[in-house]
Amino acid sequence: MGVARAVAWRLALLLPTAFGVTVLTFLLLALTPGDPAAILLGSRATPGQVVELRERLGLDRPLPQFAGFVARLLRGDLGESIFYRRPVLELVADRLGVTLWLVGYVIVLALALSVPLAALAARRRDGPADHAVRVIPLVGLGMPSFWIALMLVQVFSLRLGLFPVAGFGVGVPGHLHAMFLPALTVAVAMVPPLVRSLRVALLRIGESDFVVTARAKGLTEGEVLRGHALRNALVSTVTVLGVNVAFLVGGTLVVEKVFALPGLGSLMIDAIFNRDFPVVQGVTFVFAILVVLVNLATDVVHALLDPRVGRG
Amino acid sequence: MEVHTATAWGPLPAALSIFSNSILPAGLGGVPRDAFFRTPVGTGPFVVESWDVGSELRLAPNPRYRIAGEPKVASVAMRTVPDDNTRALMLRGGQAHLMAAPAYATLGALSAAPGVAVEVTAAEKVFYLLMNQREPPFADPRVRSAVAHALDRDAMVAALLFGHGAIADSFLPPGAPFYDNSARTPAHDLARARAELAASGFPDGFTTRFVVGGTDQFGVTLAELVQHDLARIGITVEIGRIDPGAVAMARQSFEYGLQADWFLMDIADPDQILSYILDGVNGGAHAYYTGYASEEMSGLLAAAARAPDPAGRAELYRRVQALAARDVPQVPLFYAPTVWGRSQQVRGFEMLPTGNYRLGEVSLGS
Repeated sequence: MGVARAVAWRLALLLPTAFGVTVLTFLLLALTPGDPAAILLGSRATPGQVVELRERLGLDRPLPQFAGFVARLLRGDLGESIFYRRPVLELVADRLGVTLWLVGYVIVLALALSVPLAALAARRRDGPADHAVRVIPLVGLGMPSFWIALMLVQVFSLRLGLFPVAGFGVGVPGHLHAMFLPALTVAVAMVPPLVRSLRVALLRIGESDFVVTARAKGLTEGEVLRGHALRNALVSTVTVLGVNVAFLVGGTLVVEKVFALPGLGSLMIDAIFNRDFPVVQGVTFVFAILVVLVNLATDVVHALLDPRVGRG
Repeated sequence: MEVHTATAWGPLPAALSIFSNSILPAGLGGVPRDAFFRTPVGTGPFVVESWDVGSELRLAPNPRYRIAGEPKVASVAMRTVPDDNTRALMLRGGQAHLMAAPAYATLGALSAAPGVAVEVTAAEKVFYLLMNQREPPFADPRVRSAVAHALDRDAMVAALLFGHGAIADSFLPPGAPFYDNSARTPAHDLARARAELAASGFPDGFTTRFVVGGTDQFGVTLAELVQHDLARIGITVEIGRIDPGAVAMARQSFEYGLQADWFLMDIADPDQILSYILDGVNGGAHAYYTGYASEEMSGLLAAAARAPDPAGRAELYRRVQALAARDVPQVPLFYAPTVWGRSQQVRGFEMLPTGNYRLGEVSLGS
């Protein structure tokens, strides 16, 4: 009952939160120098042409423009891009799939790497394997993602020819193939905090009474891990993962740029440079909704893993 | 078809042949404007198959193309890949046949990659240093002359173009009709630069602001070179790295001291470029937003555009270039080539001096 009420409350907060973010974005854009009309017409435009286009696009009337944006938003319309002359919703829909694919792929790879590494480290506590697992991923965390991306491309694309250099691929097998290196690039930075949190949790749970009892009953270490320890240890790791994924939703732009992925991150960065205000506002709105949904999903998974949360 | 103009106008044939002056169906064939331009119908070798704006444009052969046997490839995909490093890696990895605009710094490494060739056009892109003449120091022609003499443009060609270019000796690129370098732009001469500044209204130097896009590494390096050169004659240059989207606006509202920009002619006639950068009296762009305004210059430009015969135009444009070399409304810095990378499979791809290319003749070898 507690979980259902919490979910309902969070869903009720979704739209006000997204709206608040949109208002803040509008204010920040209003304070930022740069004129979409001047950018659209290029550096050779005359001041007269710029003024004319500003008037035509309504850029000289920011408040009515924002009021129009809000009114359209209430009807589910995010407006039209100044730069692409297409509905923002259409642009977002085209790009959202790429970003969701990337985020999903990153989560799968990050978990696939973190869980066995953390289990190995916890099992060989203070041994060479433990130290290696704790130190080596930190190197990945310390390297800039564009550099990791370039190194992965050099080795796996150019030298070994296993993966394409860039692009999104066609069809599900094509996406899985083409997005492997981008997803791995992001996952490499996500693995260290996950491994650390999961390792600490596994060590703590390994000393608890129910695990000692399970071992005393003759269960193997693998059975103890799968049946008892992992589920309990994942509770804190899910929170760490949730925070990272929420950041990822808007934070994949470097990887999108390097791998030429047509996702929301690259749409956003282009829109900021082009001062394409409707796209910036629309994408921010979608980001805000996605972040709230990811946090909500994190809480729900948390509650499912730990029934005490639901009761609280 | 007959074209009537109010006065004789020499650039007309060149202007009519510009790529963007397309022949369109009357009334756009009854198709709404937005829909028409999303899948335009033209007379070229290809038609639009699909267009994911900002991501990919796919072209298919035009079955009614007028030249038999063209286009020679079954389809073309033009992909937007903003990162030049990624574009180079795609070419090297066999994921692309042609890449636009590799960085000059990477041309050596790219041409050494197996199966890849680097192509360089004649250097036709002119880079200019713009000086805001609505600020007192640059309104003084002697200060502008001092700046021009202080700049080591050979060092710029070496540091920025890695030798793929040449210092500019006129306001026009060498391939332009009526190019004339008999009155050369001021040469690198520090003693002369110091003498010009000493004779100007600012003998003790001054401080100015070079505005450049913060993510434009080429532009930032250029600004640093200018900063270094002008410091040697007592002019302090502060580099203002601003948002790239605000650079053009800063120029158009004259909120800068120095800026750099480049121009590549769209038409095979000097009227377009010279009117834009030098005509501060009749032109709407205030002589490239420098504020330079000379009745003599504007009169010469107008006469050159209207002169009926090529010999007359040549003489008038020679005088324009000589006057510009004397007044220094901007400093022409260097000529840069357009560069591209191609797979060695690609045959028949050629970049025109105006920066355009034709894909109808392109084919793929084994």
